[in-house]
Amino acid sequence: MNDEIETSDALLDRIRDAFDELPPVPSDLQAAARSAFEWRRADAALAELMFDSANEELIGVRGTVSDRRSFRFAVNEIVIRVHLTPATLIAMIEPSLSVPCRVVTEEHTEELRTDEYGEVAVAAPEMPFRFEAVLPSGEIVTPWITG
Amino acid sequence: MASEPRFSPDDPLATLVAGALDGHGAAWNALVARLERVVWKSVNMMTTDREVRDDAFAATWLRLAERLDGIREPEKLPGWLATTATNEVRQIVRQRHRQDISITESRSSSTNSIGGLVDTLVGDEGEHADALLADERRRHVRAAFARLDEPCREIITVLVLADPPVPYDEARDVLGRPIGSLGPSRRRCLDKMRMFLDHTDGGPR
Repeated sequence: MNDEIETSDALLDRIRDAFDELPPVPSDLQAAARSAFEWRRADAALAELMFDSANEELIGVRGTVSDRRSFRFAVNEIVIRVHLTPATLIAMIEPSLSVPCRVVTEEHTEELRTDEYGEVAVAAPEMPFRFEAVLPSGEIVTPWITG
Repeated sequence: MASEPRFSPDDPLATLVAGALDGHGAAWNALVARLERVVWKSVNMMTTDREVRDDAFAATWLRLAERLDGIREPEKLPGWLATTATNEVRQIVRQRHRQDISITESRSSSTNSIGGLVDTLVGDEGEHADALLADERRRHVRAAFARLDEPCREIITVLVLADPPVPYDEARDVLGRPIGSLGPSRRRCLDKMRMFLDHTDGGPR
């Protein structure tokens, strides 16, 4: 048993100290951090994540394994749904509009167009990726889907 | 002609954020230089899996670039980055674990091994006796920390790295927990940490 009663602050200090001597950030990661700025889209509205199936499946159900993932994003009255399977990404825009759109990864940008139902299907991209749509009211982008 | 403004990592965070919002890459690079250690420590405290660690590190900066306009109090960026980094680790671990199971691929990942991170730390060779002892104490703390469950590692990582500290009401947003439970969670996690420190083999107190 402890002779000393360590205060919470002292314990936190000890933990802080234990991780102080990490090696430097590797240069390739520093480069990735710097280049993140180039991916900024200050000219487009960022859609907010409203739903992520991964969060739902966690609740109370142990061992639930799904290789499908669904997201819902919204900005104002526009909704973007993204469904992911290991092979395919399907994106749907509401209200339904045929508009130019893109699937953007760090490696490349795929230019696409939604059909008259506002839907587009494409091979599942590498993560991280984001979906961008060029609407009459302006461009909207989803947050990066990173994991 | 006005020349491109200069930015230094020592500038106030508000200056660097404003500079980056104005489109100055130099301000962003200074931000990265200033705060990279916070993100690096966060991901290393959260995981020993190098792939997860590296992807979460990169994802955290994408997140900051994406959310830069929404940063209302730049001086609290360290806490914001620490919590964002822990979130990214959790998200990536959860997703990869799921994929691992679904494709029944058993990777020999060292995600939960105590040794993984410790082996990557400098100073393990220990040039001096004093340094050796200090290293041994730190190693002991890291080993105990690695035994904590993920939510506890997350809470303590943010508590340790947020400077200034993250107020409870804001920690709620990033940690996704009700405000009321964070105080008790903190106490419970630190109690666990004390227990593991007492019962982790091989380290002096």
